Amino acid sequence: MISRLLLLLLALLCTGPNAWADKEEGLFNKLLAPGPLSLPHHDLEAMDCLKCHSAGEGVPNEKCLACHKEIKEHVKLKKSFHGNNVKGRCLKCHTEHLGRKNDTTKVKQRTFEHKLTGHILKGKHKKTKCIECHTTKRTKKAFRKNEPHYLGTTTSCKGCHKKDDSHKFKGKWEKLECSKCHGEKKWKEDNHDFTHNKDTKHKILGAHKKLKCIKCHLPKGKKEDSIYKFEGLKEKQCLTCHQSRHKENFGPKFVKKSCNTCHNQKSFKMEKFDHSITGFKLTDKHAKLDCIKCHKQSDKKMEIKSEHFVWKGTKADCRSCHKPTHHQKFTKKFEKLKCTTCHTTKSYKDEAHAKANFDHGTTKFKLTGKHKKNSCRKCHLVNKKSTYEFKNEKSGYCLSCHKTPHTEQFRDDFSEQSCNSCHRTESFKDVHRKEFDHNETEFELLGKHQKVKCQKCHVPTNKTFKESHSFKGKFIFDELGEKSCLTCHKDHHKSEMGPNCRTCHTERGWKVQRDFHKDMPLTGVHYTLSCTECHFEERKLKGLGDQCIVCHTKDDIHLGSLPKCGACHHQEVWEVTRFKHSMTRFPLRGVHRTLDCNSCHGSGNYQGTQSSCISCHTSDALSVANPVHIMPQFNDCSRCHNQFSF
Amino acid sequence: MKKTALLLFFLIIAGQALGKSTIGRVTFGSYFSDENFKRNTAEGKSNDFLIFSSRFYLKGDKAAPYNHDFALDLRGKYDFYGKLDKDKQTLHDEYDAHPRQAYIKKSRRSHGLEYQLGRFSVDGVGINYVDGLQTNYKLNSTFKLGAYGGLIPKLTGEQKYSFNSKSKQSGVLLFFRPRRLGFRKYFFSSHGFSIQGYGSQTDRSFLHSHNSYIWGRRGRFYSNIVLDFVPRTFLQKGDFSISSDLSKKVSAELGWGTHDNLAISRSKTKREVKYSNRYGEVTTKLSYDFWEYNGIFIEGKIQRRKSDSSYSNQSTVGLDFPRFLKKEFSLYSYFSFRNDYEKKEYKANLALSYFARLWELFIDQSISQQNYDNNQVLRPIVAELGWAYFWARGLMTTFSYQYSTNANVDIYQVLFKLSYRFGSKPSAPLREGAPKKGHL
Repeated sequence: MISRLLLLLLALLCTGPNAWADKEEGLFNKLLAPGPLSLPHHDLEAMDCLKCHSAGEGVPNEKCLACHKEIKEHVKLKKSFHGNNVKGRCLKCHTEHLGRKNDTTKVKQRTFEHKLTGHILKGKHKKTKCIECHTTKRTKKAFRKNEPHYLGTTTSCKGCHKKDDSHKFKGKWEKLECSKCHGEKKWKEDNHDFTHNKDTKHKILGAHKKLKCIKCHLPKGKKEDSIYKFEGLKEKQCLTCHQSRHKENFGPKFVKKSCNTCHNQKSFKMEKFDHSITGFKLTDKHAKLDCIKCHKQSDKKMEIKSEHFVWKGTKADCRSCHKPTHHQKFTKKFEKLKCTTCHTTKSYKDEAHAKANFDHGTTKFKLTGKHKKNSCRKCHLVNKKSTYEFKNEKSGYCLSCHKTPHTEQFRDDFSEQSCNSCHRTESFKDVHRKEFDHNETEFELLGKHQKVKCQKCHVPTNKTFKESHSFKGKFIFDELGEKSCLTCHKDHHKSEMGPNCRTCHTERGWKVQRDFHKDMPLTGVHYTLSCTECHFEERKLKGLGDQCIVCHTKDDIHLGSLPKCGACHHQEVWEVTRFKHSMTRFPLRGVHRTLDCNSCHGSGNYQGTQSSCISCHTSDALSVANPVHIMPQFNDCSRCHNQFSF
Repeated sequence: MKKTALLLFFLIIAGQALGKSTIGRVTFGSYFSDENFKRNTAEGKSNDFLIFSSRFYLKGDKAAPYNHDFALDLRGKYDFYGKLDKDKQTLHDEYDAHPRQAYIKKSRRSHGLEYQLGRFSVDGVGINYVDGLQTNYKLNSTFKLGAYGGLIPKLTGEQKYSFNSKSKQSGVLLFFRPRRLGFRKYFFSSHGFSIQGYGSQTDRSFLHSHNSYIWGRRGRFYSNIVLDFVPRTFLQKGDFSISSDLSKKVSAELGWGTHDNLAISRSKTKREVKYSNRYGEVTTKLSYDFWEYNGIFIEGKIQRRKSDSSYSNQSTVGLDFPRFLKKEFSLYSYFSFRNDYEKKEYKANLALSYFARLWELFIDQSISQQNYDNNQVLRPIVAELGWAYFWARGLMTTFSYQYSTNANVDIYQVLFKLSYRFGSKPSAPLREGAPKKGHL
């Protein structure tokens, strides 16, 4: 009974009100289905349930995917929404048997996260409306036929932007996605994923890196097609894009050379050009110059334009650019001299180089002394005009630059001499006597005269001299022969000693006198005397050195009887004499010691005095009567008498 | 002593201030002698003496007022020249301090009247000192006439001059000196006639003539004549000497001299005239110079003593190098043979001097052998070492030590002298070739 009821129930269900809903609803469905299927699936109702259901498994995904093959493909490839995000059963999102109006595929556009599709919207795409990319509508679908059909929309840029493709790539580039180069943030964002040096055969360097693609690849603007294949790039190289301004201005050496010879991609303007390859190495200031400074075509003033650069034919000769101030002023000998002998590119006016390299000795005027330190202009630039030929060769060229104060002051034989006779280049004022032989002037310079400056003796005078017409004879002494020293020196002796001062004085020092005391050296007290103490009133005593009496008359205790004082005395110590009375035949003893010298040596007669007693005691002898002493046997008084007690 | 020192100090200071140019000298010193007799010592063995003496000399030129010259020469007690012994020191006062010179003078350079007043020596006429006045009149720079008059200072011993109001003297003078003969020539002639007397008596009158003429290198003529008229006419003194270059290196000298000095003294009022013993001498000398003034010489001398008509002759050969070895040395050495009146003597002498920067040193050594007629032989040796040091140009110290000996006596003598020269006149220039004397 129950079973019958169940079957009945089942039949009712299948044919129940749901059955009464759709005519096409299958009987089974009418009996078993919980409800009618959605409109897109309504034709499945005529089929058995097993079309979707599996006994004991419910509705497996395979059943769904058997019809939804596109989704199956996505799932397999794991792309799109279903491939990236769906896990689990289809029924999870797409339930059925909820009636014809059941719509399980509706997408909430506002809240749908597009990243679930595996395609992340970036940049402007974020703001793009769905319909702008998903342009296909659901016309074939049961529901929302005017809504975009999302499934199957390509993620390729070209899917939407094909009309924007201006590249018209060919070959391998054609297959590339736009995103290789373009960005969703900014369409014109270059090198999005494109490395020119890796992805192309042409490496871009230097300033080229900063260029926008269109600079090269769309040179003529959007009106033209972009260029990606440059014909003859290998051959033309830079000229493919860059127009040469040099035209035919290169010399043959450089005509065939590539632009890289001079230019680099860092900056088209040359930073460094090895000018040495031209055969003219640029050094120092030349290296700092702009090319135009030298490579000018004409002297005319013109607006500087590149076509005016003349590279070929520019001479390496200094004169092609520099107007020489020496032009045609050098003597023939030096005309062919290179500018670089004297000048350098460091500084045209740098004379150090000139001095180092130019041997002035090759000229007629060798540089010595202070001349060496002079700048070239000092001599060779007169009144802003350069001069290289000088007159006054006889004077040693000195007068070409130096004014002479000796004008007409020299005697004839001196006036023609070179200035070098007296002056040196080390110091003009320092008259170098070694070079000037003063002996030629008949006045030999000796001693201190050698150190005296010329001006000391050669003082200006208004005197005129017979010998040399009338002029201020600064260097002539007309009276020198006669006066000699007195020409310059005052005679303190007032002519007493004659005019020849050299007799006593020397040039070594006025107070240093000649050795006129050669025959009588002054020693002892004499050495401390002044000359006039002996030579008062200019008294001369030459040859009288042994005649002490001449000066010492008043001191002579011998009263002039012993003129040869030196026999007993010496001037070092006058008081101590060689003469000792005690060492004579007659030593003074006894009472004799108490007597004056004159008592025996009457009036200073010392040499002629006899030592016999009788010579003094004659009267004493005569006065004795007993015995009478005037007898031969009484000649020797000492036989009876002695000095102590007569 | 204090007064003396104060006086000297004052004089030195005054001397510095006085005169356009002033010079002065102060000398202090001592002299010691020790004689030890080896024989005949019965009455004494030695003659020793020690004296301290001093001397002060000051001379100024053009002193205020009226630009007079002045001079003062004070001799201290004993004076250095006086060789004393104990006996003399006790017996005589002749060695007392005294002024040797003290005068003021007005001199002229060109022409005009000159005068001199005080105690002074009348130069050029043989008169040593006079206390009086001398006036000269310079006719020009060549001729000068003069006259003098005054008292004859009494000479006691050999040194002391003291005022003597009784003896007087006067005379006239003539000086002749031509100028501008050049350096190598010089002629000077002075003549004077003097009268010495006592009261109204004329003790002596004499003519004194001095002439000297110098020429060339060694050319020299020198004459000094004293011709007495009172008490009798005789040539009291005559010295003639002439020397001349025979060639560049050889020179010769000839000299002749005669002396017969007389001494006039008064014993109370009685005049005593003492004639000496005429003595004459002829010398000749030949010199050869190795270089200027340095060479060898040979000298011969003949002497005659009138009293006994005895002769003495002497031959000498020697070396005379006044300046050699950088002109710092002086050498005088000779060997002589002398046949004396009573002995034959062989003598050798060496005198060597060295002039250093600040000092001088000399050594004098002589040795001789005397063979007397009585067969006595003596060999005297005299050795002296002297040293002078110049502390400054004006301050000089002299020291001498002498040793003399023979068979009869040994004598030691030491002299020490300190001399200070001051004044405004410059000292003599450094002798050329001599070492510099420091800050002298």
